[in-house]
Amino acid sequence: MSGVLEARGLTLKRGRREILAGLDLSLNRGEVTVLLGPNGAGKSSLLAGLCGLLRPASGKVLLDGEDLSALSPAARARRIGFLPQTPEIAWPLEVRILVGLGRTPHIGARGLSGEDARIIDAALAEAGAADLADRDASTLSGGERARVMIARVLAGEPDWLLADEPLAGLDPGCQIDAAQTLVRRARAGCGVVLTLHDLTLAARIADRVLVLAEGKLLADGPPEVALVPDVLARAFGVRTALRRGPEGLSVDILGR
Amino acid sequence: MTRRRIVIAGLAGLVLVLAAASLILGRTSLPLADMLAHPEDPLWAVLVQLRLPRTLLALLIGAGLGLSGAALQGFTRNPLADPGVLGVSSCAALGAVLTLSLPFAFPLLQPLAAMAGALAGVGLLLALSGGAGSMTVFLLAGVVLNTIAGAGVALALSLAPTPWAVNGIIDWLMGSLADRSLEDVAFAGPFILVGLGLLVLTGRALDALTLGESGAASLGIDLSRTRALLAAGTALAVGAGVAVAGVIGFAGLVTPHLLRPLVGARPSGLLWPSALGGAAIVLAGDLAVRLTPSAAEVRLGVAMACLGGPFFLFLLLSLRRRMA
Repeated sequence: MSGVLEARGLTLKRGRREILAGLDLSLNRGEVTVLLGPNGAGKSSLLAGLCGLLRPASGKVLLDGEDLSALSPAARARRIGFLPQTPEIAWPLEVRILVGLGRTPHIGARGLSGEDARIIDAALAEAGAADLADRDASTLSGGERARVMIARVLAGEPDWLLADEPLAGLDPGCQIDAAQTLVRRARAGCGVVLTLHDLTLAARIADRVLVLAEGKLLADGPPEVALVPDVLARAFGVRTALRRGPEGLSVDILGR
Repeated sequence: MTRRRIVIAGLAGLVLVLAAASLILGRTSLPLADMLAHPEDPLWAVLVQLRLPRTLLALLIGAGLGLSGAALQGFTRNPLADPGVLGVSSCAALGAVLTLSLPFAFPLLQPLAAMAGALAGVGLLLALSGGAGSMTVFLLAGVVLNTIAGAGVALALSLAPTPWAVNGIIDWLMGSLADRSLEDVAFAGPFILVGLGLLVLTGRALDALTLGESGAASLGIDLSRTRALLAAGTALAVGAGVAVAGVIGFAGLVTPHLLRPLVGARPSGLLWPSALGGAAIVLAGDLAVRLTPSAAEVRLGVAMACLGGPFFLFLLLSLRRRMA
């Protein structure tokens, strides 16, 4: 049972509104899983539920067979790192201090040790943000900010890395860099789960694609199975074509 | 880190100097050398009975205001947060004032009521600001609390049974440290110290909250525990202060702002320096009202408001410029 994040009969609600109903799902470490779906499909809620931030209305989330709600917040946070959509940076902190916040679940009441400092530097380098370490985080551009936030979640050395739209608002170059960082972590054994809106990017980086619409899973499988025109038409109401070129898969959007 | 230590050492030195000045200086300046030679000198009574409680209360209350201001600003990610601005102090005053219309009284009634008022105020504030609590909702909640507490106090004033009660109410509204006793210190001190201890425990959570509530929760921070620590700590530190000295505003607002450029913006790094800075500001303010040559001593709460009002305006203007 090692390396599995599962949802069993997972029902999630925001207020009284039911977002997901009775979802069964099993995710594996070492894979990049991309969650796709129209706006309001429940992607963000599913991520929040999988990392224990949104309590299930019914059903449960199991981490290696253990009920997630039975873990202490710190124990959960040591194993599952989460990058929220449009992450807030409230104070003009130095980037290194901001990235160091990723160590919070590991350090308890003590301060950062030399080992923590080494991990923080490694995370900065891995996310391509080493040159930003001494900058004031409030002065970063969108792309720089995304790299720093990824470094922050990498610094927690989680088994699972869940990120809500980590590539939104980035230029193509920054998107590729950030995506490659996440894929590398998956190859190193981390379970990476992302929500995306870019279908071609999803086709290129995902080992597995989940298409979510109206609170249900429409498709679950490798990109060439999940990103077929029929599924995308039902999920997004658009006509598409899935092509395989020399650079890999791509999804062309043909119209409504 | 070293820079922060230098600032803390400097602030501690400043607090010591101001505390010494507060003991010696006043309408009657104390000739310390003569007094040391004559242990039976009646001036010792001035030092021990009048100056010492005043100095200790300024230290404790200032530290409570500075630390709760820094913690509230960290928790709300809002640089305008302060127990005075957000109505916590007014709620404490209302709690104390309401006891005047009760048909019974016991020795600790008023201070306990002040702390209960502060707890109700800060609890309501945090409840209103939870979840989608934007800066706007939070400040509006503060306006509402200040309005409700103000109305309650005005009602108590107009219904006050005796002129003596009116004077008592005015004492709470315009804080002062004049004529306080060692009993006041013995009463408020432990509550304020416990409050400070609770507030300091929030440091790591406040740092994580830099990333917003979901960011902090994803880092394993228990936000309801943080909220409870903050509410209890602020209620004790501010409520006990208001109970013995009345409302002293703006120290909690001003102190973290003055210190951020010196020690950095990390909320946990700002807590101890703000406690020291708040103590220094209240000590300095109390010295200033004592040494100002006027017929009657200006009340400390009034003097702080005179300084704090323009500072608040300046802060608002600079925020507006940054948001533009």
